[in-house]
Amino acid sequence: MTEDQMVNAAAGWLHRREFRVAIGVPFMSQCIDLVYEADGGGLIAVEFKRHDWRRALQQSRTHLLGANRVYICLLPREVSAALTAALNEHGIGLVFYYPDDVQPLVERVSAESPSPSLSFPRLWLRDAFEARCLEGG
Amino acid sequence: MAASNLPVHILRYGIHGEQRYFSELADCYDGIAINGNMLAHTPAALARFVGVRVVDRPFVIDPLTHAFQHDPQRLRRAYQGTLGGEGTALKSSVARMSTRFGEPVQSKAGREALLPEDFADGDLRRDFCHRVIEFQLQTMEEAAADGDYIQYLRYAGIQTMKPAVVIAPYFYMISNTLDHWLDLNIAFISDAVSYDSGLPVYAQLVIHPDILLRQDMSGRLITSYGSARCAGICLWIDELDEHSADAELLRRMAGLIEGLAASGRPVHNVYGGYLSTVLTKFGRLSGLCHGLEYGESRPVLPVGGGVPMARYYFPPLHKRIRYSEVVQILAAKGWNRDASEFHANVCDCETCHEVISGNVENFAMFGGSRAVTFQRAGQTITLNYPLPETRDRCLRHYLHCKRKEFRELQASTKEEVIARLRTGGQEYRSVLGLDAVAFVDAWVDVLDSL
Repeated sequence: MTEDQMVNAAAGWLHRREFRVAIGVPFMSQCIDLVYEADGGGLIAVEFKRHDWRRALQQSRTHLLGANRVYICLLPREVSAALTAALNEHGIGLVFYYPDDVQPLVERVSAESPSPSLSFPRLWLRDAFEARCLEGG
Repeated sequence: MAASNLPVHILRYGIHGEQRYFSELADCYDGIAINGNMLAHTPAALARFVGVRVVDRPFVIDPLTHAFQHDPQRLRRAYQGTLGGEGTALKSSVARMSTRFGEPVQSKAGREALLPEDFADGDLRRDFCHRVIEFQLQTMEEAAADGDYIQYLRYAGIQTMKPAVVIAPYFYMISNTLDHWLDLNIAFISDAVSYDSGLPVYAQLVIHPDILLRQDMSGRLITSYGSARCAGICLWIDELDEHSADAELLRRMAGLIEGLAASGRPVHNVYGGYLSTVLTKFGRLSGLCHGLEYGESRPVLPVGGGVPMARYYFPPLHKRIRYSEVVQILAAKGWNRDASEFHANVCDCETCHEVISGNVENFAMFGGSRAVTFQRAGQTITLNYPLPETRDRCLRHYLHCKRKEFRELQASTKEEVIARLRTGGQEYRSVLGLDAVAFVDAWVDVLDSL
């Protein structure tokens, strides 16, 4: 199971549930693995890693500038105290990926909404999301 | 400080598209460095640039002779013929340089690596050295003479387009090859001085940082270059990044500069950042060179080239950082609401005032980019390339900051500089992480040791 396979399977599942989804969304010199539009219209960014949660967190910190909520997605594992503390520190959530068509994404730690700062990063992410949706990304 | 034939703050010419910054921001630098491969490739464009656009700035040409000592494949480029054939050919700029330099370079370029024994014949070595000097002296003048603008130059009273100094041929040394190249490098200095070109001869000392950690080797360099007959020394420590180098390495770098300068010769750092700027006041460095927004550190390989990426120069840390990191800082510090807070805490240069224009949301204009998606090794990769206008703003901001750093330094004591560095390190460690600001302690160590 590669990260790309995880991302594609998760995107397909969200799409079947009629969420608007885009993968590989460029944002602030990075690329967000998956972005989808939540029921209320806010954008949810998800960064996938099979195991390396520190790297996932590092990349996700930038996503906080543009998304309404940010998650990292890992293969199921024990949630260490260090991981919990790091997630809480930044308000980033955690979902586990199960290779299961029924429900591949299961939330383990909920994400907080980042406090709004500058508005342009949110506009940039919205534009990039819409563009990727149009491209079918 | 030893009197120098080179100015303190030198900008390295990177690509022709940057020419306008040299003329429009002429008060942000003192001199220009031009790489030999660039000169060989487009002599007329450079002659026009030097002759017409920035006539009042001294320039120096780096002959890049070290290019010929490495794996010769690095000097070749892949090509695809019109009839479907493919292969590699010597890069045209290298081919032109090698033609000008003559033997032993010409017959080996792109085929075999140049070795110290290739210069065993003293006459051949001297002739080579003289041609390298002539390349620096004549290439621009010849190109100017071929162009219509020679009339303009004469009208403007410009009789010569010679560099401020000439650089003797040089080769890169690592700790294991110092014994092989050192005597030859010193011999080239003597040959260059004996040639009597009418211009001061500078040595270019190019070393791997490992040499700094070997006291015996640094000592040999100080003795050898200290007794050489050159008028000055340009120092290039391979890929030494002042923001990430170990404190001990930086102290050794400052020590080498002290040792070389003790002979009374000016020493310039060929690729340096703010630490080097500080060493021009509190150490014995006579000057430094960097590119337009990049090039404060440079690996010896690849020779020349590289696509610069836009980043925002963050003045409190004297460092280019990712745009997203600046936005994170603005959000974390609450400087995203009031433009005056932005200018007080981040930057108050002309470019920032013009861009921000009373609204911090306009900081977006330093980050505009275009996403390009492509496939690499079966994976989809998306890179964000800065828009031309983004790069333009970042570059102008960078040069204004550099000018301010020099000016501010003139009015500062060492203690004030150290205090400002420490404040910056403390202020941003919680946002950027300790690794990103740990250089401050290393720099303070260096300054304390002076």
